[in-house]
Amino acid sequence: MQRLIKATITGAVAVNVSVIVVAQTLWGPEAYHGNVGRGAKIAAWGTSKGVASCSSCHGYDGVGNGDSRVPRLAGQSSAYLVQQLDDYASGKRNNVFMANFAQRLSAQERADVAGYYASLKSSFPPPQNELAPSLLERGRQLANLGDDKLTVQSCNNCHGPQGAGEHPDIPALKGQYSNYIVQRLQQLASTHNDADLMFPVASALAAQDMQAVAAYYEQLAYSGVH
Amino acid sequence: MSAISRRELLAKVGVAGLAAAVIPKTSAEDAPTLCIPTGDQSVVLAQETTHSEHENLKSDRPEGSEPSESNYVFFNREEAQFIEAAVARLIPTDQHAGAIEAGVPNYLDKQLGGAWGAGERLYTSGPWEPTRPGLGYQLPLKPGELFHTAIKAINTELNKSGRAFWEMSPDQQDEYLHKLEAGGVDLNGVPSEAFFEQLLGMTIEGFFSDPVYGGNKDMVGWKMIGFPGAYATYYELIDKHGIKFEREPVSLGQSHGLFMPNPNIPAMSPHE
Amino acid sequence: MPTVLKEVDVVFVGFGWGSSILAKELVNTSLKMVGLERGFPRFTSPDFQSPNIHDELRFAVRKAMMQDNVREAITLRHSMSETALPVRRWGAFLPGTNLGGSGVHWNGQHFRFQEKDFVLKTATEERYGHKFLDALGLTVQDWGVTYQELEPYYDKFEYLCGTSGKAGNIKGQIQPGGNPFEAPRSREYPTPPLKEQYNGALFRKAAIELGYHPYPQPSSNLSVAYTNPDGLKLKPCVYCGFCERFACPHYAKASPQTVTLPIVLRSPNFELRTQCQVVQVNRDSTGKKATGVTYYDAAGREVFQPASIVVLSMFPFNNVRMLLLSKIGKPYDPQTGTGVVGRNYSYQTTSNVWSFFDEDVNLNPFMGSGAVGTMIDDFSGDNFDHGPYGFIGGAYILAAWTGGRPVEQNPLPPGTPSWGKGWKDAVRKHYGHVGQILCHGTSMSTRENYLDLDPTYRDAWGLPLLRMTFDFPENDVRMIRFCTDRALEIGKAMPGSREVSSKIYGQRPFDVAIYQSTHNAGGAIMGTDPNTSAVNKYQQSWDVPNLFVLGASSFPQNGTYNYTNTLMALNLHTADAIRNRYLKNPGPLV
Repeated sequence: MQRLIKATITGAVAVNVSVIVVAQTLWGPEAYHGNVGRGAKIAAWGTSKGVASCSSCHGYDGVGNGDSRVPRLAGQSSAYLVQQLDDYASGKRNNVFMANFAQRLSAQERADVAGYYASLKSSFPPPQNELAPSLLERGRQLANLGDDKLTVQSCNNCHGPQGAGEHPDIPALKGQYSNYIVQRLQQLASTHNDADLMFPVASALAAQDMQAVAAYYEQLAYSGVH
Repeated sequence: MSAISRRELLAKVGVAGLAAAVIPKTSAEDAPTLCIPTGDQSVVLAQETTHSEHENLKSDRPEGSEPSESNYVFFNREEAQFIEAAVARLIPTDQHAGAIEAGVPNYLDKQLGGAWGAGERLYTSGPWEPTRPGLGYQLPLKPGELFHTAIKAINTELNKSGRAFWEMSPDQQDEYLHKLEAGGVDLNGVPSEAFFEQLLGMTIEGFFSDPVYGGNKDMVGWKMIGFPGAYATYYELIDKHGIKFEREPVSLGQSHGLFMPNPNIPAMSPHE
Repeated sequence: MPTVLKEVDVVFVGFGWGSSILAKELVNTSLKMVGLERGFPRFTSPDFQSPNIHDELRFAVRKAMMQDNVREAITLRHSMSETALPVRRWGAFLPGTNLGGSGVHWNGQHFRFQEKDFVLKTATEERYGHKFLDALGLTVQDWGVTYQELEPYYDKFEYLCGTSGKAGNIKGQIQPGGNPFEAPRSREYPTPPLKEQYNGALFRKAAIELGYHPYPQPSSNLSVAYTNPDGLKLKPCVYCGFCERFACPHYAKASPQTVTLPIVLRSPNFELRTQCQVVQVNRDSTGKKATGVTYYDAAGREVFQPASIVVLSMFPFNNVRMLLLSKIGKPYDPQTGTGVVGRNYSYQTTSNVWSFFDEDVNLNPFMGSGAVGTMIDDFSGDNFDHGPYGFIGGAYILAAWTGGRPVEQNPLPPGTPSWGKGWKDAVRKHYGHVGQILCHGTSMSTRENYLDLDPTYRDAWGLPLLRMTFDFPENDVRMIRFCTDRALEIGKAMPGSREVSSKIYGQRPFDVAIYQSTHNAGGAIMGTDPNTSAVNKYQQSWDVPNLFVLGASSFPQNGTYNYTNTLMALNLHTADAIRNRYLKNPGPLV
């Protein structure tokens, strides 16, 4: 049955591309939807517009690199990934390196490569650092319960069960590198943007709490300590 | 799985599903996730498929074909037979699951056998007078007692005429339920419209409340209408007016609990 | 024999919004304070976190945050000639319980009353003449305090909460984008309005087309992160759709937990005692001085807490009941129209309008918030000429989905079968494609609507339940019909609307089984004359000057709007009077 459906759909796509573009679907940016096959090619080889391959840092498997703070992309929400590329391109998210790539990718290409990485189910490497039980416990508390003294709500409120994300906008945290999460929290704490959901949360966390919650989420996919 | 025409699939699956369907290596069955599915995690947070395609291609149990299991703690056998037959008429099975597949009898049984049935939040002191318009519930019966009394009266009455409720044809059952709803039938002291109101109200609750309460099994009620469930953050979406929202619903039970000291105790039912 | 404790300076009965804001204002004095709350303590983390808080059955249907009717209910009758029967389950109104009270599960709908509301009798007679008002058979009164006197306290409470909105009138200058009918405010709201729902955007188009003045509903579920003047931080609302009857996980809802308790509870002069059921305000032999309160603790032991100042700040009709049980003030007698305790009970007069759209119009009602509406004030209060209509008062007309919870927030067109395949077809067809409008209107006092003690039914402590004698006055029935017709016109004009329907709750007999509003008011009303009011403009008892009765029980009649902001402005006004005048010179402030 699956093969039958795919065969008929492929035909439909080839013939009726304009019909498929629907302004109001949720997944991906408004006017485009990512083609995973094309995305795989961009990830592997880059584009003719001088975009290097994503895989050279993020890996073709999207696993990234914890030591270098290159985030895992495999299985992340495609809409979230597209939004990050848009934000890198516009400068809303500040990263000169990523801005260079993002600006050279068309909207369709961003959707394609985001769709490719979103589709992956790559395995998780063991956590980077040895984790003290008290750190994990603090991380678990923040992730599941929050901290009233800091007026910080539980991360999972928004980031979903076990930090699996609330698609399309809220990224998965489960299995993300703790180094990367900490760096990102520091960035978010410095935006001073009251309209950003993460600014008031990140700015309430001391360095140790950032470490704790990041360590908790990193090991969640590998060790499964809830 | 039921046969599905190409037009139906195109209509249901939408853009996202089409794109997903052309992925050479993955199908909705290996729907992409960030997490490795562990033994006790049967939820897959689909990202690239709509929920309807997800159901069609992933599940090996077609939606709406199997009743949920129930171990009754409150209803006796005759009561359970009445309840199962009645709720099947209140929310029937069609192209979507109905009350039976959703586990509504189980929901009713656990509610009536628990605090609600025993009269939580109900002022039960007398004296008791018949209600008047606008004055709400006035019977001395707690919900559990109400159901016991009413169903016994119904079953006794119908046995006299030689045909139990569950032995009637669907049309006859509907006619009987309409009669109860309209009122004027005394069920051993319970006005039939008062019983019917509670039965219908709890049936709808059982269809749409969180699955942790024993109904809305596999979130079939929520999937039917597109209600996302317990995880709810729409900060970026609320002003995207008219957008079609198609994320798989998520239940309270899928969080593995907020407070779970022992990770070996699953927070979900083993039946899920 | 009760245990007698050491005397304190202030004892608070009930610890929700009212008590906690007064306690907060007194924290910098050296006063020793005790707060008595019958329920349990609870805090945003861990008690209000997702996903557990997003449980429609537990909180919305089973009403887990509400007063327990098993132990204390009320009785209701529609007129004096009837026997009152117990309200055995809450329905029309949902009094809250536990620390923070109703301030935890309110919707954050944050309005000011209008200038005329405080001088309703005078203003109505001025505009329409004595005869007009007399013919309506209402007992409306002026409050004895004016909007101008309260304006600084409205401002203060809005800035403590971080209320999100757009001013419509700053010091007399009408502001574009706001409500042109609003009473003048001294400055803009502390945070900008919430994002607009699709439902609201469609309503806005229709309202403008019909010549009305739509504006964003003011919300104390905030639009952005905010640090209040006390240094407390609130966060942006995420539009989760579980607002009324639920607590906010995100620190986005202004509540005692986010705005007052953090300050009160860290003060060494303040002690909170939970699971304490107060049963009486005690007085000395003169009857003119409160000596403290008697309560039962969690283990059922009787305790007497002596205090120099007693503050009643329970749910409004519970305040009235406490006065009656304690025999403070002359109970109201509806036959003679004399007496003050129980006098002028009022409520809120409401209706809904629904607009049904095609299946491709996705309104996404589950993306909701407690105060995320778009609304008009063109028919509120006295904003239009009532001469031709023969009623006073009005209703605001608001388009909002506070959520899309499938058990209870699932309206279907008239004629839909209530069950079976027809019902199921209709739910599939309509869920998510229905617009909702609310008419929320004034509630006038009458001689016949009042509160007293029930002669028959008792609570778990053996004390008489409060008896409510109430039905909607004919005046209000006419008003809500008129406003609902206006709302239907707007509903029809929403682009894409196929069909509209309405349900009026403000009709006779009042149906206590169906939810309408938790804005019960009056019964211990304020005024300038002790013969027709129980408290003065500072909510100080005329009879017992060291007793203050805070909250909506002070309202002589109820205005168009949700009343939290107004009762809190009154409470801040009281707080100032206590701090700056009463403490220096205890005694009657008026």
